[in-house]
Amino acid sequence: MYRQARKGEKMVRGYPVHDPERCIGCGACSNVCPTDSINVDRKENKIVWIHNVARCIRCCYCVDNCPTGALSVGDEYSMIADSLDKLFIVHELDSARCTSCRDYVPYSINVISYLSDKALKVDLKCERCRLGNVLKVIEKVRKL
Amino acid sequence: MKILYLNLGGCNGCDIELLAGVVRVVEKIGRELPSPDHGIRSRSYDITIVTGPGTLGNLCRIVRDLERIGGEVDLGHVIVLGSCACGGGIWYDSYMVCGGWDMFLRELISRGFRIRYRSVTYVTGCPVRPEDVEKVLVQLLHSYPNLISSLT
Ligand code: SF4
Ligand code: SF4
Repeated sequence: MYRQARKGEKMVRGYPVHDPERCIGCGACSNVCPTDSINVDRKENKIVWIHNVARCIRCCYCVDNCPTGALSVGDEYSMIADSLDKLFIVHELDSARCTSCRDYVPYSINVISYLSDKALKVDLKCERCRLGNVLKVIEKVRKL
Repeated sequence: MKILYLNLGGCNGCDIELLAGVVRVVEKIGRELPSPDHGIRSRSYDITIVTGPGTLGNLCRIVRDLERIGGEVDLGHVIVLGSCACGGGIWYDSYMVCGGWDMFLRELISRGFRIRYRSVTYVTGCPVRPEDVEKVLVQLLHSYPNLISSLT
């Protein structure tokens, strides 16, 4: 955000705009938010990204810390409503699946294109499969 | 027209913007707004403007005010200004803070006070913009013409 502001790109620091096409559901934004106004809920087969604009102070820490660029500083600062329920922004993202057991992993489906963009060769595996691999290695070591 | 202005422990950021907004409203409607009460002194108000997250110190103050006037008040049209008053802002889980106007109202109602209001408008931002204050106040005054006609 400060990088953007220094370049003179933004004159108004609006509330962050979320792009559900790029968000991987990592939860970095909800961890750094000083008001906890972003919540990344991990349901079984989907990830729900919730932003409570009523509480957001437009500090844009979330924008600075988003690894994928899914969040950007918005141009819109004001939001006026007659009920607090109208001040929520909710986006639902589909969860990605484990490559070996087809179970859901706690990241959204965009993580696949994100990893391939970064040219990272990471096998997307759920916790159980990863742990299974570790257990196999431990057993091997024990037998030696 | 009677205006109640409640600073429930705000940092005065929203209050300064409110001032800037009110100056714009006065320029726009061409009449002066009456100076507001800073605590609940009367049983009925037309407009109530709230800023701040609702500290417990202010809760004690408002409870004292309400006990003095008999525990019943009509706040009229409530305008809730700023992130703190809307949802608690950065103080949402602090000790000694109710966490916004809704929670503050809940605390008052749970103490047995009868509080009525006609509408609530939440204006977000940290602080709010004077343009938003102007927009909300002018909209309110235009939709209730008897409010303007009571001005001198
Ligand atoms: S990708 Fe960005 S917007 Fe999505 S959860 Fe992570 S930090 Fe938040
Ligand atoms: S701008 Fe600041 S307060 Fe608003 S969601 Fe992002 S980190 Fe939280």
